[in-house]
Amino acid sequence: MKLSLTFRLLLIIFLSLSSACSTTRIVREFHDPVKLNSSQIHNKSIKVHMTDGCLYLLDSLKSGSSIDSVSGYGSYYNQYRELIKTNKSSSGYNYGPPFKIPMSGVALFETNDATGLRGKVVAMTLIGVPTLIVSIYCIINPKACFGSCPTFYAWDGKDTSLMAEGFSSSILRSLEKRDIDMLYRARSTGSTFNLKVTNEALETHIIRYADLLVFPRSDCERVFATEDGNFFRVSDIRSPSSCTAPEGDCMEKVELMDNSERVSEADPKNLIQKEYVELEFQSAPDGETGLIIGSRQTFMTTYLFYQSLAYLGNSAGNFAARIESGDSSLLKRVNKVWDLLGGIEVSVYDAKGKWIKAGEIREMGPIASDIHLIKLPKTGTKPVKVRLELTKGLWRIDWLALARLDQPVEPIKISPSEVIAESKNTVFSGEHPLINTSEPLVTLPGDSYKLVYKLPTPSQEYEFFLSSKGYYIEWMRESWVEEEDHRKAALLFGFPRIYMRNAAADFKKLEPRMEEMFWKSRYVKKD
Amino acid sequence: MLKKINKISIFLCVLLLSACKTAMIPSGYRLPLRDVKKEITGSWIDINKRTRAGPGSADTLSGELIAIQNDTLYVLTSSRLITIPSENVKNAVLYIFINRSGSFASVTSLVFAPDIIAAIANKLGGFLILGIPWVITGTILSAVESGDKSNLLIYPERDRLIEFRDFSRFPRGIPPEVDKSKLHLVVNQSGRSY
Repeated sequence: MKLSLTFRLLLIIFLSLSSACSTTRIVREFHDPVKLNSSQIHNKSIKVHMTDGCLYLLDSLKSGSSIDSVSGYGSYYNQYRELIKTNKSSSGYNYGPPFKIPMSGVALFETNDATGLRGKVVAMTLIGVPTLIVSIYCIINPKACFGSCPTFYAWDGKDTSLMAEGFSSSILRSLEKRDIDMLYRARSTGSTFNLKVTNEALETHIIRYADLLVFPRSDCERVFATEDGNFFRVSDIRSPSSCTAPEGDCMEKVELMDNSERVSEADPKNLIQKEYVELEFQSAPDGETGLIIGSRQTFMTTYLFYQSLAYLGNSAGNFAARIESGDSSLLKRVNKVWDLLGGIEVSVYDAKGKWIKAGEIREMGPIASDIHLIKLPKTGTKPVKVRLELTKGLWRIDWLALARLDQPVEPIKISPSEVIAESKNTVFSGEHPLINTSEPLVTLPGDSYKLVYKLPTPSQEYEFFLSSKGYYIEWMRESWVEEEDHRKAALLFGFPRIYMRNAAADFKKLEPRMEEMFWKSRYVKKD
Repeated sequence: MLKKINKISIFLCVLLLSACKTAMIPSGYRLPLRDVKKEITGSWIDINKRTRAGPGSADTLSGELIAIQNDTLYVLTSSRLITIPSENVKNAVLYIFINRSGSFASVTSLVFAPDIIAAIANKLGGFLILGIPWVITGTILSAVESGDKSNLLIYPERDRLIEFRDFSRFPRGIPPEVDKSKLHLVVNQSGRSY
């Protein structure tokens, strides 16, 4: 269950106040020696007030066989509170015989209990310990924290939730490109559809457009997009009958789009080591079919991207400028790194016993899962065998299914009718970026905009896609510049295969907690 | 109505005074909560006495509460044992333990310190944002704790004078064996082994 930031802050305040409101008190009790019930004071530190005014301060009281006396270890003070004798060391060890205190000389037994202390300590521990862990992790591994691309949120019928990330691979203007993301769980609210776009990272986002692509649909239909930007209305969606990965059965992880993802660990010796996931479908739907893949990347690409900036250090700007100025050989080197990591390559087993490549998903980004459709060639085999080839530890697969492609469909494109700057509470509806000008919307860390789209027919159910275009500039961090190492940068961009072997050990140290720490450290969160 | 306002203002003054005066209590009597069970003396008390000058005037005295017997308070000041008939007590505050707002504030600062250092060193405000939930919690707990007066007994606004007796050195009264002239403040209670 996702909770909004405001709700979480209110919850923290409520928990703090409720724990704080339980006042800390001392409950002091006196027990008459005549009516003493030993169970009341068993295992408690106790003060024994003597009739002559002296005092025993004992760690616990032992009642022996005789009811005429009690015994215990601790210290004995006179009426003027001068220490007379002790049989307990400062480190807590008992020595010598215990004090044997005649009951006839006891005026009172005193016990003290503190109440209301635990709630406050628990509240501080529950919030303090995770905060400290995340802080220390981010201090040690700043490249694991504070990153993201333009992040889009929409209403899913219950809550405003993360739906898509825009143009993750467009890290320079020259790499600017259109990105289509399916808003799989999005629901409209009457005649309008709202998207919220945030800049949650130390980045400058330049958003050329963020249009909505909608398709009228019925309850039992869905529309999916292929990698080349074509849309198909699909039906008869079937789960695989088996899913086998190197770790064993992976059916449970991939049969539903439910945030339960199949993910493997990176190879400890080579970051580009491949692995296979094999699927079997007992039967294929009639007609043309396609494989539906719901997936996102792990934080391996984020790590490698940030690490490359760190190695370039102060010359990162010059490096970027060369690419922007048209240095195609340099751009080729950058692309080679990402090519080596690769996408999810889909192959089908044909009647001749060969694996035929059907397509590949290459969409980058570790934040939001996107859903892709790969058209499968007809093989006529039963069962239908599909194989995914992917880099170990690079992909999180949420959903795999086979579907019948009913017909290609064309979207209705809708630009925002209003852009609302949430931080300034200003509504733009005329000439404004994203609405009707060619000027891009430029956002800085912490910026948040609500985009309002007017739907053609309010009562109609739609499939929603986001079509966005733009790029983003990653901000250099001081701590990255400290790692400047041009030899390593040259190795990364010159001999990436060797680099991927050398970098594996360092990455493996961070890998187990990167995902968790990223989500805990996001610079700005949705509200 | 005026009487009520008077009472409330006296109560507020006493609270304010008690907050400021905590620092003036000798260290041996400024016990943290966990050490109250090891206390070998009575608790520290501040008393405003009625004087003959008029109903509005008062004398103040501070010391260890030795006993309350026969409607008389025995208070050991730094110089001597003083007896005060309970009817002469205008108002009084007894300090059972020092409240922990300072500790909460210190822990909050200590846990937040790595974020501050990292933010300065990295010139990255994100580290400060990481600590926001913690700072909110620590500040609330510290603020509420500093306003929490459950570590005090306050007469006459909240507590009865007879309830103070449980926090005296001799809860059942001063035994006859005690030589009152020999009683002295225990400035350092750390000598106790338990």
